[in-house]
This record gives sequence, C-alpha cells and structure tokens, in this order.
Amino acid sequence: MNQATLALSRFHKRAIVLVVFTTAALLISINWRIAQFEQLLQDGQVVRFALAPVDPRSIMQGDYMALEYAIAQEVRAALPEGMTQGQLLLTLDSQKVAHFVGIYRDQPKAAEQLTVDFRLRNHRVKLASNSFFFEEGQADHFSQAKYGEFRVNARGELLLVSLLDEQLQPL
Amino acid sequence: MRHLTSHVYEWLEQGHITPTVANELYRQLSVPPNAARWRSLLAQLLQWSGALSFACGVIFFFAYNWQSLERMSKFALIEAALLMSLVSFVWLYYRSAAKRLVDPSHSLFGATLANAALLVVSLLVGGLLALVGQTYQTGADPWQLFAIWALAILPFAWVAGFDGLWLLLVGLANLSLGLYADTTSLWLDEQLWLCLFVVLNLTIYYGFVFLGSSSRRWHAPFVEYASSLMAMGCFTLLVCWMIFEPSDTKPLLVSVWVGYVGHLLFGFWWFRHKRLQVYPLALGGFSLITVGAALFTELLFRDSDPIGGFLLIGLYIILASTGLSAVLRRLHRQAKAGISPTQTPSENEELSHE
Repeated sequence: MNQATLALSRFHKRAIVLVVFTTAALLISINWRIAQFEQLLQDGQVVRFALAPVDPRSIMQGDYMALEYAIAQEVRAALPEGMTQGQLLLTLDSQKVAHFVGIYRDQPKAAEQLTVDFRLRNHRVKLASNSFFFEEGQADHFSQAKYGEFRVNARGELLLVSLLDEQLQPL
Repeated sequence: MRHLTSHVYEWLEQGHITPTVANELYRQLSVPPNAARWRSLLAQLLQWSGALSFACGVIFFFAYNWQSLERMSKFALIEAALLMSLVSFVWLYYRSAAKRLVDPSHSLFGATLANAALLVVSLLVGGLLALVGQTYQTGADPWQLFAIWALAILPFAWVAGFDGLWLLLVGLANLSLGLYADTTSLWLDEQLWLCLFVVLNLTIYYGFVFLGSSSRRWHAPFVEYASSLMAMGCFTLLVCWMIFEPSDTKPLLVSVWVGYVGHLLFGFWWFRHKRLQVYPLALGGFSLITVGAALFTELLFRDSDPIGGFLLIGLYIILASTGLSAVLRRLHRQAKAGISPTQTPSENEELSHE
C-alpha cells in the first residue's frame, strides 16, 4: 500500500461510510425482524383455524396450496364497507380452535378473548399468508388438512406453523 | 473517432469515396487497440460476468437446495454473501479512489468495478428481504417488499452514480407503485393512478435530465430512456382514454390536458432549441400522432359511416409518421454534425467536494 492510498478525500471516505452504515443498518433491522419471528413461532399463543373447502382448481398450485378459513364467511359478513385490514376478535375453545366474535375496534375484551391481524385482499380474508408451501410431490399428503395452526403474539401478529388433520395431529 | 466514422460513412453513402478508399482511411487514421486496452476491455467483461454470475449463482443455489437448508443457514448464507460483496466494494472503491488522487480523470461514477460489487449488494438485499418474506409467510403485501427494497438501495445508487443501479431503483419504484395501485384499487379511479405514474416518471426523467447535465453522478442515459418512455406511454394512454371517456372529475380532466400540452410544448422548446436531443422529440411526436388519431376517431365515428373514416385515419397515421420520421432524421444528422461528440458532463460536483 503506497502513500496515496492512505489519504482518501473526505468525499470518498463519506461514500464508503454511507454504504457500510446503510448495509449494517439493513442487516441489523432484518435480523431483528427474524429474531422477532422466531420468538413468535416459539412462544406465541397457539391458535387453530378450521379450513374451508377451496375451489379445487385453485387449491393445489405446484408446491403450495391455497388456504381458505372457515371463519372467512362470518368475517366478510361483519366487515364494514371499505375496510381492508384490521383485527379480529376471537375466542378459543378447549381444542384451541378459534371462533369469530367480531371485528376488533379497541373495545375492552374478556380475558379469554384474543385479537389477530387480518387483511382483505381480492375479496379474500387473509390471516398472515393464505398459502402453505411444501416439498414437491406432497400434494396428496397435505390435501387432507382440516386445520391450520398459528402462533399469535399479544399485538395480534400471527404466523402459520403447520397444517393439522381431523384429529388435530400435525401432518 | 465516432464523429469521424460517421463522416466517412456519409462520404461513402454519397459516393464521394469508394469502399477501398474508406478501408484505407481507417487503416491510416484509426489507432489499433494496444495490449493495455485489450486487457482492460477483457477485465471489464470478466468483472461484469463474474458479478452477475455470482448473484445468479446465489439465487440458483437457494432454489436448488431449498428443502435441504435450515432456515437459519439460509439467512446466514445470503448474509455472508452480502457481507462479502460489501467488503469487496469497500476494497475496490478504496483502490479506485486512491487511483483518482493520482489521475483526476479517473471517475468513481458509472460502470466501475466497485459499482459492480455495489450492484450485487443491492440485488442481495432484495434477495434477503424476499427470503424473509417467503420463509415466514407474513402475508405482507408485495408492494411493501419492493418499496422497502427501493428505499434500502437509494444510498447505494447515490454513491455509485451508476446507470444500472439507478435503473433498478426506478424499476422498483414503478413496480411497487403498480402493485400498491393493484392492492388498493378501490380507493382511487384508474385514470388517477395512470396520472400518478406519469407524474412519478416525469419527475424522475426531468430530475435526471437537469441534474445529469451538471454532474456525473446523475448521468444515466438508460434511466432517461426508460422513464421518459414509461411517462410518455402512460400519458398518451391517459389522454386517449380521456378522449373516449372523459373523466367525471373536471379538475383532473383539465389538468391532464393542460399538463400534456404544456409538457409537449416545453419538451419541444427544450430538446429542439436549448439542447438538441432526438429521442425525446421522437417520443413526443409519436405520442402526438397517437392522440391525434384518437381525436380523429372520436370526431368521425360519433355519427358517420366507418369505412371512409378508417381510410382517412389510416392515411393520417401513415402521412404523419412518415413526415415525423423525415424530420427526426434531419434533426439526427444536425445533432451529429453540430455538437462535438465528447460532450460528457463535467465532474464538478465530485471535485468541489474534495
């Protein structure tokens, strides 16, 4: 390394600092999100949603299946015009299967009730994502799914963990 | 040299010289590339194919080994690749910044080796964001991914001042606006969305045109081509649409027409008289022909018989396009003859910061 390489101009030093700083900030925030998701998957409250039959032409699309939840019908009926996202108020039965109570609007909720995020996209009620991805060729195995098992945190964020069969056993 | 080449071609076309003389001229006048130039060309080619192969390789590696990789090892792998590209950027940038101290004509903007590394960093950032979304299936809307990606690489594009990276950024901005429009299409009517695309791309276009004339950082011809094509395309579509189905909201209707005419007039004045450029003139001209044809159609077919009308419109399009092409060819020749070929923006900005 010769003399010249040691003395960069302030302009170029700043450019390097900017790039390094941006990348570091990005990596830190992305990894922070990953840690949050992992924590949710591990410690979140278990919620199970019954699946509803989907149009058979669209259910299996290569290596993932489209999911439709049984409560979607009730949610759509209760949804005010123009609302595209918000939170659902739910109760759980003894098997941790969710039942729809209403759209949550910051009203006081009972101890056994919980709230989860939802979005309405293309007239479909979405709980996290409505797709379940699996290894190629396992379509038959997963087509017997009756429930989707989620983990939800206190803020109502939820992630799909697995699909369950009729006896609530993971597939 | 390119200037001379086009002159020789013209002489050849006009029959002033024979092909043999032309060949002889080239042999006498042109400087054959020496070993150093060959080496630098080969090095550039290898650098770029190496950078792109690396980025593609990472993606294919993931696609192929998707099932056999653990969640955490996927993240670790792509983050390691990202850090590696970052380190190589810093090293390459450092090296060429040092070279610049010795040789001030050496630019750090544009398609340099360091910027190739930065392009890889930018692509991998998108890959990492997509990987997180795909792994956890959070159900976030797709536009959010592209918007975050665009924002994340904004500082990189600014540092690099490189066409490819700007183009990626502009593409992402358009894509995320389009997906956002798709998600929330209930809120605004479609003509207004089209209007937003026009505004976005025109802003980008004029931003690059004006900033690019004074600074190397903003000199990005491909971005100018792409954004003006997109803006003019959307604008033409919008205006034609409004001819056939005038919007119910009067302010929108009026502002679109005023904007369109104003933009054409300003563009004509600027690119014809201030700074002669054929491409924007061509875009404006063809857009005007399209709008003219739409106007004709609307006026003719409101009540009368269609056959004669079609003939008339066909004739109009052919004549107008031929006329415009002739004018553009003349202007193109004028542009080549009038301005010295080595008209690149100065490096004032970079120097003034030092």
